[in-house]
Amino acid sequence: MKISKRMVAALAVAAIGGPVAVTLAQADDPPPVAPPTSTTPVAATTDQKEAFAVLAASPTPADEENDRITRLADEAQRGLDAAGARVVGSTDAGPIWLVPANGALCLALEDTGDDSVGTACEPSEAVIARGITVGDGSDVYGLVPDGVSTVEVTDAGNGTTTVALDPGSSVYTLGDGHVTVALDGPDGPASFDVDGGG
Amino acid sequence: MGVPVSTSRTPRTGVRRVMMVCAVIAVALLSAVATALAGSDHWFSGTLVQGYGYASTEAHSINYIEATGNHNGFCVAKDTGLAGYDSASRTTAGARSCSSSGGFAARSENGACCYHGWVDNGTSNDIVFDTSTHYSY
Repeated sequence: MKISKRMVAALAVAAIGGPVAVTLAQADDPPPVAPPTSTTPVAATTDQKEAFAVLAASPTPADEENDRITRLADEAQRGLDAAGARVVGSTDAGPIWLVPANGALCLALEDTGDDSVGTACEPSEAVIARGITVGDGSDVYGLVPDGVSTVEVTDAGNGTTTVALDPGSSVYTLGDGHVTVALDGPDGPASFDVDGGG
Repeated sequence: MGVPVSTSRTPRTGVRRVMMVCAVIAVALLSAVATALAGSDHWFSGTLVQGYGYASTEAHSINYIEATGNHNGFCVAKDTGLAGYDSASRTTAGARSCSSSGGFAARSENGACCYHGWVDNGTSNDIVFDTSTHYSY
């Protein structure tokens, strides 16, 4: 087999660059986490559908009003699946969406009056284990996995409040402060840091 | 009969060629204009210390904003204020989108003119932002 100079150069770069890339990635503590780039939508996985059955359901008329989610997906290029996005609640400004993405799930707040939508995305495994939150600068909206009916919110002063979700709802609302949210998730107890930036 | 038909086709072919050339030129011009108007600004990366935000130098008709950070609690928005650093609690022109429990936040905006990109860190930790942080216009 004839090995070209280009191939030799590529192998040399891979041999030298590979360990460097790993070292750099390990230097970040913790590394930035964003859904990997994807030019095509990435549909919800089986695990995601098991944790959030709404993702396996047929779209409702509200789900089909997804123009702004489609625009967000087109601009983000991170595999957000507008057709697979589902409305899971609402704010005064518009619907709250759960959006599958590339290796991730996103929670999005649509503002119908402003013709805008904002989102936060997290790795799929984390969202399946304990849900996801997104803030709008004033409030933080959280979505819990199916089967979770309450969350425990511990503030900086160590005061704990139990927040009961409304029947049939998987969405809870917090202020913009720094708290720890604990819940009994599908994989067992889970807790995580929530900071609305306020 | 064959000659008149051939004669009549010659001008049509010529017209088609001219139209095709015009179409190609039009597409090229439109593409050039679109390229000139559209763009992205990676206005911030690196460490943003606690309590501060940063607005882009340039202002544009923003369509999209995104930021990736190594700690939760940061927000992105569009802003009409002065460029550069300011308090994280500054009132922004548009709604914020905050990565309250993760490391990625994004907004699709309405494209109205003209706004700065804004990212803020209202937490009690310094946050390091990835170079992918940008807005598009």
